[in-house]
Amino acid sequence: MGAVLEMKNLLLVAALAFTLVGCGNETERSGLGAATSPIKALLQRGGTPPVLGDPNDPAIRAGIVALREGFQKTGQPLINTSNATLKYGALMAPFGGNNGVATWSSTGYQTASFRDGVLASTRGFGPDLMSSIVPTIATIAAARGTTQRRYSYLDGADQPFSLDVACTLAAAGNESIEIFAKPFMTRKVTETCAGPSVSFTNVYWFDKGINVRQSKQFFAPGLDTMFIQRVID
Amino acid sequence: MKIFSTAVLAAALLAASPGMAEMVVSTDLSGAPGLIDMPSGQSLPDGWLTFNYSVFGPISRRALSFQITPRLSGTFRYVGISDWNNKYCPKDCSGINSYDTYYDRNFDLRYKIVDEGTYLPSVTIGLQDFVGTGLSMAEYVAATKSFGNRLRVTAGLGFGRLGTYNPIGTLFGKRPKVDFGNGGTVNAAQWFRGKAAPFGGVEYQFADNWTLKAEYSSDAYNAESGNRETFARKSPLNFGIEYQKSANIRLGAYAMYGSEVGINLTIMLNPAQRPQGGVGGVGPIPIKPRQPYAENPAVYTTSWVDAPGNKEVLIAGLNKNLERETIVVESLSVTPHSAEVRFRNDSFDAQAQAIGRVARAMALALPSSVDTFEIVPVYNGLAGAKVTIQRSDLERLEFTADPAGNLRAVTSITAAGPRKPDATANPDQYPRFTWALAPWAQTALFNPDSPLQIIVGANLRARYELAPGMYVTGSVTQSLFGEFLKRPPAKHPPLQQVRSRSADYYSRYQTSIASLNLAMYRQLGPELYGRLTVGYLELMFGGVSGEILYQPVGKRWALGADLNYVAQRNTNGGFGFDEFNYRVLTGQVSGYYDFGNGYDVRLDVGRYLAGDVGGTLTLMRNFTNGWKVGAFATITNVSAKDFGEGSFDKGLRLELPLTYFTGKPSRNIRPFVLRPLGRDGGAQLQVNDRLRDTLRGTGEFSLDAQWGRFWK
Repeated sequence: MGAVLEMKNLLLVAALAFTLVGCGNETERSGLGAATSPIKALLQRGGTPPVLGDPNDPAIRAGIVALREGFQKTGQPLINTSNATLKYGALMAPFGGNNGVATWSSTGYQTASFRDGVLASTRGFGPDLMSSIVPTIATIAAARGTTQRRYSYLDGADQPFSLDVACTLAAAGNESIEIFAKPFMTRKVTETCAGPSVSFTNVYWFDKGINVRQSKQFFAPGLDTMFIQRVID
Repeated sequence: MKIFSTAVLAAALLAASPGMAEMVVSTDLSGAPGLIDMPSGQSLPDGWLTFNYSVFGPISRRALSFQITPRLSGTFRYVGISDWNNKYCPKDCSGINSYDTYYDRNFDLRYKIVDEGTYLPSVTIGLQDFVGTGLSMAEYVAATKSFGNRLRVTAGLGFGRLGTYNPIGTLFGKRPKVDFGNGGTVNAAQWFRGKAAPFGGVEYQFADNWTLKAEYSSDAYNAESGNRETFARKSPLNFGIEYQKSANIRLGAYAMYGSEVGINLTIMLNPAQRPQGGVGGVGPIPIKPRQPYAENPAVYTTSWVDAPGNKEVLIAGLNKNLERETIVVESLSVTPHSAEVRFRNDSFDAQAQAIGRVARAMALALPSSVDTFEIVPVYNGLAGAKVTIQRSDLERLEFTADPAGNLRAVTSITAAGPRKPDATANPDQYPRFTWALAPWAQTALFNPDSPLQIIVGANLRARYELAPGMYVTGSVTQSLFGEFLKRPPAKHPPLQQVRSRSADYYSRYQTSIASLNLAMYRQLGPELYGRLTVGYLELMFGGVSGEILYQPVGKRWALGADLNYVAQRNTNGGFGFDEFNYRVLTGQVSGYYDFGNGYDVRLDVGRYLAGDVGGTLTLMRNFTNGWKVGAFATITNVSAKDFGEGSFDKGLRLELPLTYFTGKPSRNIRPFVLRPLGRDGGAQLQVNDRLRDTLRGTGEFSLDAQWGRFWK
């Protein structure tokens, strides 16, 4: 009984060790202050988040079409991003641009930055892609040859580390895709990459020349690729 | 010895088993890398921290172990032996026989002298319970060799306690009897003396995460199974199975000494690496590049400088863009081409990340003509370092292959000094009132009658900041559950009873003013800081506390001094001082040195709370993510006899950053001090927000250590 009581006390101590604030106005909030933003307002104007369900169900399909048309009316470009490992899914709107790199943000301030549709960095996900060396979209769209990539991260000690991979590009035929119930005829390209500790395949669906309509792109080791759809241009 | 030859044969048969996860180093029931009850020749990975809770028969152990360097490790262990006086009491319940459960504190040190190679085993020399009463005292040399990725074999030679079963002889002379006096002294005369006995065993990983262990123990448990008969040691052989539940948790169950069942829980942490990797939290605002001058020279006008109220507008703009980070600009000083922002970061454990966020807000909110950003984190009005960045570098480097390295190369970190005379203060920042009502707990450890006592209650705290570096703060605790066992006051104590009376300050349902004081901080020079705190400084003392600190930016050393005139408070937690009528002038001169490789040292020399004079040496290992693990010892002019059990004040110190456990940025750090014995000699005043803590993380080396977070 003594041991059981001691373990109970130990657990109690452990539980209370990091008890922070019951209530109050201290500003210790793990860097997650509430905020309103133009993006949040925009997305709220655009309608409710996408409804999960069978897109072949006429009622659901009608809802998705209405949603896209609602977005379209705002005239604001939007991408749809998701990651299976992180159980993450969000619409993102343009947030900034610098040196040819466009940054998009969700209402929760996860951001993804692209160089002509090629994922260059992320923020707000935790295991973020801090920086990268990526091929040009023209190289990828050519669908042949090889590329070299470097992905850089911070580890659990906040120290930088990089992954170098060599990739092979290949054409994967034409494919008809739908984004928010809108069809697109696309040309599919795969970029199969391998390095000392990771291997993965990026997939790009081009709808006009080198315009990436949809892609699956690697961004962090141990995570599934990021799925990105260009919803509103 | 038959068991060893069988093991070697098994090694040849089982060594090459492909596809199995590599065996991790596991710990024995005492918390050392080992088999079941015997140590091994291995070490844990550098920097790892383990906590063990084990029980077999009447013996329970709780151990905290730390791999101090790749080769050196240490353990603090608290051992309980139940049924200790069964054979003697009620006939003789005096002295050591007064304890039904006998508790003992152990310190171990181990040093790995040989790393495992293709042919060589890893070899470790260990000192177990080498300080104090020596009940568990032993020394050993152990060698461990792995065969493939499934099998490990250990053989060792033990002395002292580990040389008590089937000894093979005396190698280095007779072992003198331990004269432990008041404990706390190193018993070096006994080391490796007396009879030596072999021990050994095997570990076999039969499936991923599952390991079988068998060992031959050289510990006869003379006291426990001999004269005290707390259990029957029928066999030298122990067998067990262990399950590695996750990278951090290992569970073991054992058949011990032919008569008992044992269990072992090991919690393993690697403080160096946050389990989640990079931190989460909201993403930053992208850098907003300015229009090139050639395209639109008009936006580079400097006419805004003379506009009335412009600084207040800019401060509001900056704060708007830092709102979600809960960073607040305290002051702004601008010229047509430069701006200095002083800010308060209540969110990010890494100052570099907070500085990065401020830089981004400056790029968004400040006029285009401002090209030089001077960014200064401040706490209590004090500034450590100033980070100077060219705005054009931010714009240029954001999406390069190595933005952190490239930016640091063109960033300067210098002493910030006091706020500039022309600086405009954030008009909305002061006065500032914050408060919190939170659960509260206090523990008392190592009382032999109740080793882990806990009081749970509520804490209401508030802080009213009148100006930068000037605040009134108070904290009230209400005990709701539990109380501490109290000792009667000593009749003729050799020293004023200070910390030995700490339990008296926690009574059932007591409402206590834990602190209530006015604190003032001043930047006395570019790298010289001062603090004055007046009032109820801590639960046990009130008075006046003054401190100065010289902490040059870019130097690995700092010097400080504090001087306090305090009176001992009444135990009821109220306002009075009449219960003890004790006043003392106390203070220390403190030197700090950061070795730059993750280790630092601090030496305090001065007068302590009971009026004794001496010094405290503190050695810490610091991890860049905020973890700190270390030990301290205080020697004063109080004799071991007057000090009492333990002979001198010593203990372990840990600081745990909340970010490590949540993966989200936070400035919350939980300090833990583990003192085997709380006595009166070498006791120091506890004042919140000391200068060194206030300036934590703002020096050049701290910023550099987490510079990658600038762009996070």
